Amino acid sequence: MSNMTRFERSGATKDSPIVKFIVPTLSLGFFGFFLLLPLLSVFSEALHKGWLYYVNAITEPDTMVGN
Amino acid sequence: MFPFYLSIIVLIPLSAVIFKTTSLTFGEFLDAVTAPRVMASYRLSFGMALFAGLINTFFGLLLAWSLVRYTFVGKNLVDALVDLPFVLPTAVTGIALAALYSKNGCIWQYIEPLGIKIAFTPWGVLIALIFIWLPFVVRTVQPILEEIELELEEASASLGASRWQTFRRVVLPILLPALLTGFALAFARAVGEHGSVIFIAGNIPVVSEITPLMIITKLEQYDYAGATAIASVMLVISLILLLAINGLQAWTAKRTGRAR
Repeated sequence: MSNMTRFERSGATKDSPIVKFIVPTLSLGFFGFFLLLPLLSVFSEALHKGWLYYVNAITEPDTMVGN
Repeated sequence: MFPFYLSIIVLIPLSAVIFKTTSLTFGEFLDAVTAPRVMASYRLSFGMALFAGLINTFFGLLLAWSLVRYTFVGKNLVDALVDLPFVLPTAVTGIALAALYSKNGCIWQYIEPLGIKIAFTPWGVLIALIFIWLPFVVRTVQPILEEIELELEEASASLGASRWQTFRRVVLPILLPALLTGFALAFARAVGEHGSVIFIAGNIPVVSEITPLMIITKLEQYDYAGATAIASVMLVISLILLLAINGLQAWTAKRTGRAR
């Protein structure tokens, strides 16, 4: 019971199981597609030439001055 | 003190836009702001901002609802990551999106052969605007949703309302001003968004050039008056939209008896 929000504990304010399935699925799908995916793609692009290339790029003298 | 501060920070730069524009004759001004390329950029910038706004308002509400009302694995992580578009430098966002949706991107290289093209089309602008816009609606709606009393919805249920009726008649009117605020803030930012959009839009004249890019193009050609002319048009449209949304907010507050 403790892992439920107060609204879900009360029968009067509980959402139906269908809503409880559809709303998080839609919203998390949206979140994953539009926010998580671009974020992960930055790292996959940055690292696809290997760690060494990545470390060299961020420790390059020009970048260090930029920091 | 505050009016003084406001005028230095906000009004002087804004009046400079108007002042610089007045160095053009009215005919030159009209030519600058109604050139076909510029007109196409207004349609793209404002149209896509509106479209992205509607999508984000809907999904932002769902996401806020999920975060406040339900528990699921990784909820705290999702809650923390929602703010990411706020803190990510816009150029990073742009490169990330271009990396993802371009022809050689890590995922779209498999999808583009199916005929769904995102990068270097107007849809790229939409994707970028949805990304940068995502936190606005969630973060304006979430605190209001958290404040809603359990008793309010219990009372509604005890009077015979279904869950949908409770949402529609009790919860939604409370959330509406927050939804409109989120929409307005995000719209204002989305219209002027430059850094994250240009990489994925491809900036094809008339097809995928956004208005802020037109301003920068003019600046690069040392056409300062032309640039400020377009800027002043954006300024006026944004002001009209903000006034309209403020009016809408006042109206919802009055209608739901929450006017102060």
